[in-house]
Amino acid sequence: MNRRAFLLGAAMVMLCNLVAVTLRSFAEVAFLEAYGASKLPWLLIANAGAFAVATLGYDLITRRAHTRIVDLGLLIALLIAAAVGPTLLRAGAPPVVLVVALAATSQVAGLALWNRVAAAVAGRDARRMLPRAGAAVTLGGAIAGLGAGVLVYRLGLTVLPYLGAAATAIVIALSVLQARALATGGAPGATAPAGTPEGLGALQQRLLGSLIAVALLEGIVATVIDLQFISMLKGRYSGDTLAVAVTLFYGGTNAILFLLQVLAVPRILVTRSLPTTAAIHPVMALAWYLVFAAVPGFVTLAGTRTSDQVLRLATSRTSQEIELSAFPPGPRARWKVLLRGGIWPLGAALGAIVLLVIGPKAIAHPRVLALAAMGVAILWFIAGQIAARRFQAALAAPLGIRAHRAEDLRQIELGTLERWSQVAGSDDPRDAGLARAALTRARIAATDLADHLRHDEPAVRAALFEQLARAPSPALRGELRAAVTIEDDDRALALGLKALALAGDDGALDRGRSRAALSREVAEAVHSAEVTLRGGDVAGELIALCARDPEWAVALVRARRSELTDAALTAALLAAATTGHAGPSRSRRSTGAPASSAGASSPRTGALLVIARVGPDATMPMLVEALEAGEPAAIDAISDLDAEGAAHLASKLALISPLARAAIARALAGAPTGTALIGMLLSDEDPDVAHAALRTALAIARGGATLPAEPIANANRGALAALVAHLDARDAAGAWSVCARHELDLALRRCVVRLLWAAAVEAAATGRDPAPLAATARHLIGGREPDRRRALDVVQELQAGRAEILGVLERWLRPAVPRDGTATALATFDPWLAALCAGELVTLEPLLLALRKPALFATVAGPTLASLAARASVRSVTGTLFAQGADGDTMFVVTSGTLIAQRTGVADRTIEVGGVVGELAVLTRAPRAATVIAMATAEILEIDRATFAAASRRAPELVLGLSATLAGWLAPERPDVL
Amino acid sequence: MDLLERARALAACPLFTDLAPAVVIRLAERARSTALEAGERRSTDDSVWVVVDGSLVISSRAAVAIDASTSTRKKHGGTATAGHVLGLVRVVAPQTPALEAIAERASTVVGVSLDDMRDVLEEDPIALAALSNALARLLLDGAQ
Repeated sequence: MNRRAFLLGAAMVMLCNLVAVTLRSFAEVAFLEAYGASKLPWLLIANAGAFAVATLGYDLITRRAHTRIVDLGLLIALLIAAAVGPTLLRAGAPPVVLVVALAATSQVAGLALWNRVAAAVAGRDARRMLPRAGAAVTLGGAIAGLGAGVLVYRLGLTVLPYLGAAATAIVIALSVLQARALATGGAPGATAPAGTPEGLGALQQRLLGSLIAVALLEGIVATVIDLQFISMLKGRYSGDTLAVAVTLFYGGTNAILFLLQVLAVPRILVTRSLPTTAAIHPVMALAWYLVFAAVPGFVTLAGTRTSDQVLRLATSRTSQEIELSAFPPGPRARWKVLLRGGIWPLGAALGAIVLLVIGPKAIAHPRVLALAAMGVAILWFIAGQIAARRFQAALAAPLGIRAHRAEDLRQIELGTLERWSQVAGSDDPRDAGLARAALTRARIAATDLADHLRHDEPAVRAALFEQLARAPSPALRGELRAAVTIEDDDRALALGLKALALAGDDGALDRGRSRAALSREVAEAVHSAEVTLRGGDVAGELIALCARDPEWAVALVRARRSELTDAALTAALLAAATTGHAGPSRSRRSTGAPASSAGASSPRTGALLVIARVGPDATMPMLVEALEAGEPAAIDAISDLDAEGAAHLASKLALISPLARAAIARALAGAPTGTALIGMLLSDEDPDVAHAALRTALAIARGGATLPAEPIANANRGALAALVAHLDARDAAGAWSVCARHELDLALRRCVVRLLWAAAVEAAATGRDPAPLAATARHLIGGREPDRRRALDVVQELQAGRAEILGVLERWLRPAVPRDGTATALATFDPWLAALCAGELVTLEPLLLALRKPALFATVAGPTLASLAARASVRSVTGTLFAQGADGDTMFVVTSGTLIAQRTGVADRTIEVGGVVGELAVLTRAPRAATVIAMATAEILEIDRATFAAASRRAPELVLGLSATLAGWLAPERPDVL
Repeated sequence: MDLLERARALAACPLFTDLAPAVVIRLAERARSTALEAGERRSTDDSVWVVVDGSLVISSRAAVAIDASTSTRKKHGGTATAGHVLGLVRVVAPQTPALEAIAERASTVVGVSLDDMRDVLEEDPIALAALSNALARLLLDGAQ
């Protein structure tokens, strides 16, 4: 912000409006005295037309000549017109010519000078400061109105133009000074970031279209209100009394506007979204007209006009100002003048022409006229909302943020359902897995499946039976039994028997028994169904089902739980889990096979799924161990949780370690039924778990599931409090070590992300798309300065009613305000960081600083990096570190000196401080891809595969960092994946 | 293209073969398909594009001028056909220059915004690891 230019500009526009109001009062009274109220529509048409012509003329000239010179010429013309006006009137010049000339010139001058004020501020400074400049304009109007009223009483009407001429001379002087201030101190509001196109893009053109519509409609409504008010005024007053009434009205209006602009508008503009601000004026116009239609009279009409005049400048012009900020500076300044001086007056003139055509009848039936104006005001409101939405789209587009209306998967057509079911039953495991995942995601109501249970294709029938097994529906038992009884495909029959058994129905068992001798699959299904429905060797069947169909195993335990002691259940599950277990189990992920597919998973995989959903306390350590080790089968077990299973796991959280809880929180991203569990994890005492849960809550919200309100509200409060505590710590960080300050800076970024994620999840709860708000987090923490400013504006537009979020984000973006103090509050939210800031981890700091240099570790959470640093070995190396083709399971970070990587047929590559080598071997277990040597002694940190894997389980962003490193190597060679 | 068709198009890309079906479906939910006429352009400024059918001439913005001819683009870039994914490196390394892709003939592409792609990968660490592995395989293939 250029403060000097802004202050000079504010003084300039204040005096300019003083001139405009003074001259307008003089002109309107002169017109009424000369022609009477019956010619008022002509005055409005002439005023509007002249204003439009003058504006277009100004636009044409400024496109050919320097704006500063044109502005100066305009002000000199205004001075001359004001000074000679009374003389010309006395000499017999037609009052209408003088009226039009004075009004048009003073208004165009006002627009031109306003652009000069707007050039001094940008971004949120503009939202905050421009209403204050507007208040200065209003103050000028109020002084002119109230002062002129007194002066006319004492000195007569002719004093006004001379007063205007004198004030114009001061404006000219201020204009010259302000131009110099802009030249020397910069014009942030009139410059764009490098690379910004000069013209309007498609989104901006759409925005412009709606802005034109808004200006036209607003002009029409304003004219109707003006006409009704002035004619009623003329009916009550005459002569100097009329002049006093007119000037007092302008003065009073401006006084109210001034108060609003100083006290309310800046706050509205920096806290509310634009659709809200843009709605105020048309809604109030409608409301006042409603009152007028109910109680017609001077007072209610005066209220209507006051509201219109005040809000036009207080909210409509400021909304337009913000909407135009989505344009590049050139078109912004041009269209600001054209919309206000060309389009709006055109709308006003159109309104006046219609009124003229209708004639005196319009005035004679004020209620009818009011109703007609209300109709136009409704259109104006709608156009305003469209413009505000288009502004939001244009604002977010440069950041790559676009609103995307997600499909409602619950409303897929029956044809689609049939096609997906067919693919789900296909022989291609990958396609079948995708179709099953799509059907699961679609959450189709079981009753929608009833019409298809006798489909011609056995694969479709099988897929439908499987869907019904996944979500048993007692209401469909009759149809299901009828379909299974006539089923002649073995696979479909087996799945149909399962669906019936899980629904508690044994009506088709005879059909199964009749086919059991011919099909092992059917025989197994019949046996499992009999045990599920009637009991028997439940433990033995459980072990078998863990290997064959874990979903059914879960259903069996739930159905026969009373026949299984905790000890028996534990023993069966442990037996299944250790059957053939030698290391991490094979995941269904790689095959895409569903949990219910026969033979698709190992017994351990099935056992982990059963433990997650129905396991007793004694089995939890096995699940915890698998989750801590990142075993894919354990992750799958969580991501496949049903609602009952999620509730069961929620009751066991006290038995689960923080690392495993974090793994659960992450895995739930694919489990829309796990909302209650995520709700509990959001309030987890471990910050990493809560952070992971919030990320997952966002994913679930994006999928359309509803999360419990209270944990989300708590997460919001917690995220806000954490950011404030970190900001307080930043203000007190003057004497802290470089390492502590750097870690605090990183922690602050994480807090910002967490706060925006929480706000996004909250937005989803109110039916809005959470993705754009969540996307702003990346631009705020990692974008260029203009992108950060824009992202903050997007945050304001997307989050409703959370002004405190914007306040704290702005505080984060501003430099710290140094003060004495400690980081006591920090310990509540981040004990590790508090310890570091207190100097308790001083021995770790050199290692932390070294590890932060490579991009790979740049954003990893401090505690994770600290544990990695504690397990890394510091080494000195001279000569060969490793040779191409050798096996290796460690990676190295250069902390001093340089390494050279040599690969056959490729130029040598130098790895400097902060560089990483050996990461490919750690990631893929492949032999070393190059020989790496140290020409002179180099210091390196050695990190083995297990350490890296453990750290990446705690901090998945490490894998993202590793991917970025790999991408960096890959980019020059593979444009097809760039 | 419906959800499943988009998912199958994404899954046909070798870089996504290790992603779990549920993750591919989540990606497909956020993806949109586009039919391109010959000569139509797309960039990887804010999206990842998977080529479903047809072919596109691709070149890095850092390598050729904005008004470069198709042959120049081909020389400095290449051609992307069904199964190729454009813009993926920018998901993990946003500073990588964007690609310009011009349809050589009528083509179909499925686009996922960079933010959506990052979201899905951040939501699922196993998916992220799978992508990392795929990138590593590409690097190793190049090294051999």
